[in-house]
Amino acid sequence: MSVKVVVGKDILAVNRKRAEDLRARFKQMGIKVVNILSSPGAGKTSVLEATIPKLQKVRAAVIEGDVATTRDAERLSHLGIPLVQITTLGACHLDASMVWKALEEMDLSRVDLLFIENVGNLICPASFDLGENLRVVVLSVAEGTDKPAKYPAAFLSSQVVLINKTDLLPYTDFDLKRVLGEVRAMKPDMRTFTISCRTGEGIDKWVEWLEEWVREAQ
Amino acid sequence: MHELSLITAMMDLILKDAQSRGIRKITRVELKVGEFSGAYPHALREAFAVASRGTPMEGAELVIEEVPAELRCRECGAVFRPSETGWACPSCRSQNVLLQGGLELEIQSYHGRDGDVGQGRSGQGYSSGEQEEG
Ligand SMILES: Nc1nc2c(ncn2[C@@H]2O[C@H](COP(=O)(O)OP(=O)(O)OP(=O)(O)O)[C@@H](O)[C@H]2O)c(=O)[nH]1
Ligand SMILES: [Mg+2]
Ligand SMILES: [Zn+2]
Repeated sequence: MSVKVVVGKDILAVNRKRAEDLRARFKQMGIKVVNILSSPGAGKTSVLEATIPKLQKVRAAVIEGDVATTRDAERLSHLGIPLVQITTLGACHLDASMVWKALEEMDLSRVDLLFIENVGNLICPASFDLGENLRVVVLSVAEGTDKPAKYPAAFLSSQVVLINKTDLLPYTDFDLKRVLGEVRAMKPDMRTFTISCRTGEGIDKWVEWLEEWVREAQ
Repeated sequence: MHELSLITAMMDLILKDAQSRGIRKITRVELKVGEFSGAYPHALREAFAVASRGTPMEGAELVIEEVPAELRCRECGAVFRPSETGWACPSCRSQNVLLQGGLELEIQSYHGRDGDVGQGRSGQGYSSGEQEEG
């Protein structure tokens, strides 16, 4: 007998369920989670390097996602915070079960804020919920003005955009005003910060907002 | 790039569901894939051809409905496609717009056979039924 079965389900329903379980677990632990997305090299690790030492009111931990290397984790090891590296062995994104496994190797008992650096890629990670409470997309001015329009899923699923490498603005044709306008057109309530991890410009404002967010969201 | 993980996730869901219904062979799968979902139909097909080998889904027809991106103006209700130059409403210029289509990654339905049982019972070989799942 031949049958048609109507499913009507999200392809990633299993990941979504796992992510919800994670979110519940994080909530129970009193931890806020930030998932950081960007194209390769936009500055995710640099943002962590610039942000974490400035945190005064909250204690941070990091899960580093990378396709193959542990370099990003090595860059952060001097911070003396709980830090776990996930190597995805080729996969272009993290998923909720990878985060679940990483948690087994971490002591989060004295942590308020967990950063997850996703694999450098603006397409695939957008579809995978990691149980985070906040999604941040980093866009560097070296990448060009058209990124939000080209990768709407990454921007639409994020609540914060960090426009990084503003020290390079004089050397690029990046149209900051236009990008900010486009991002707001996509998502009127998007938070945007312009920063330079090189010069430190704008970092204080972002850190201040982040600490406030962690405390408010408790 | 992540099409293989999408296909694997899709196959897990369907194979589990099929098993619970005693369906032994999957003959057709219907997916809905949005223009902005980040998944490409061509890559999905290639991934499916590889991942389905040796499973009850091998050889199944993969039907992909591509859903174009669609915006709706929250001010005047106009429905339009996003343009390269931005997402403002072409009728009233408002920037208060909502993406109401284009992010889909959905399994619509699948067709299957419970092989041995069906052949024994019905002289025609096939009958078709429809089942809903909540
Ligand atoms: N000029 C300038 N360079 C920066 C800035 N932020 C980061 N960089 C440089 O950009 C390069 C990439 O930065 P990373 O922080 O490694 O970027 P990433 O997003 O973590 O990269 P992947 O993890 O490989 O995807 C490094 O050489 C950084 O030094 C900035 O504000 N200005
Ligand atoms: Mg990095
Ligand atoms: Zn309008």
